[in-house]
Amino acid sequence: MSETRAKTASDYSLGNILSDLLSCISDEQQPVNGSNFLQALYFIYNNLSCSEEMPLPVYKFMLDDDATSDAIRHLKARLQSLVPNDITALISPITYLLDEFICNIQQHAQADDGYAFVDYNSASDSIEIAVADEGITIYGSYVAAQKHLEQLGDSDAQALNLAQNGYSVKNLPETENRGYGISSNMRMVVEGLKGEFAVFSGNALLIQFEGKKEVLSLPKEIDFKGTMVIVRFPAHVPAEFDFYKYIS
Amino acid sequence: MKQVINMMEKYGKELHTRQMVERLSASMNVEDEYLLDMRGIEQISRSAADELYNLTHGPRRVEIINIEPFVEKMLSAVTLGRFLPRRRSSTDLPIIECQTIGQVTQQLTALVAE
Repeated sequence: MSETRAKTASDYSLGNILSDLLSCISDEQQPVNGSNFLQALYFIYNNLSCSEEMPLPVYKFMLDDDATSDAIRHLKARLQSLVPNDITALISPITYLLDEFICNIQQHAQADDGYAFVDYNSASDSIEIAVADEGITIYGSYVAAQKHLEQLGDSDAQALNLAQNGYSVKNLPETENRGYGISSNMRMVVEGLKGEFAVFSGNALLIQFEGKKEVLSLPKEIDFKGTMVIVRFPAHVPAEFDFYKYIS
Repeated sequence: MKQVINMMEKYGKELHTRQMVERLSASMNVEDEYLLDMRGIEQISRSAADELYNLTHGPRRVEIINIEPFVEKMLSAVTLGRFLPRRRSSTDLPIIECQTIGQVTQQLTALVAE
């Protein structure tokens, strides 16, 4: 496998990673699907050429209960084996985030399979988690649920805007209907864990880190038939982090 | 007589999905009473905890016993969340239209550099 120049820690900011990812997908003229997205992401994180062909630790799983539970256990165990320091304090948020991302696919994506990879980047001492599906996109989830159609228009970017703003696709007046999902997960990662958070869905991208948050409508050649969530955060829990603050 | 369901025997140490609890709920008779023995369940997702709330506050007669500390905290959090107002994180963000990959790269690079 060929290696490109050595990256510094700042190269691993999520903004730079996403730039590389889009260029990689575009240069290689790969179909923009969940598997290829995650493979490209893995190459970039590991400083490999995007054109390499090699088996990758992208974990594909069916969306039934047993398979998703197995996936979560496998991904957690993999992270524990990759990260050199003790991540006991991170196990709850890691499990929570994997649960949330994978359950969201189960509930909303109308997909058969999910894809995930987890990694540890020693240069930036950070943990990366990415989960993708090839389902109906976040826009499609609002349409399928017939929710917030007036605000939605015809835009994947506006769908991401609604999602980051806590607009739920659920319609369960007596149960969970408070727009948890993306908005609360973003808070945990960005505010709590001092990390970065991005969502690709359709041809839109939402990114948040360090108080910065943007929604980009992407060029039409990047039309991702599905949704991918990517998070990265330091492998050390901030002293003030209170897990339970982010789940109620 | 109450039927005891040993959740760890049935599902293992972790309850990850809402659907697990939904299926458990669907398998229960409305006329019967159940005790969900949670001893040994060390992890539960917010979705599964939320669905357990539905199960214990719905038409079925279900009690949860022997709750491990983490699960208890998660159940408390989702219960508390029921009574909190809907949270809106911010107003709509402006949508940045990018026509080319170059523009996306430029935008992201500028965002990182700010």
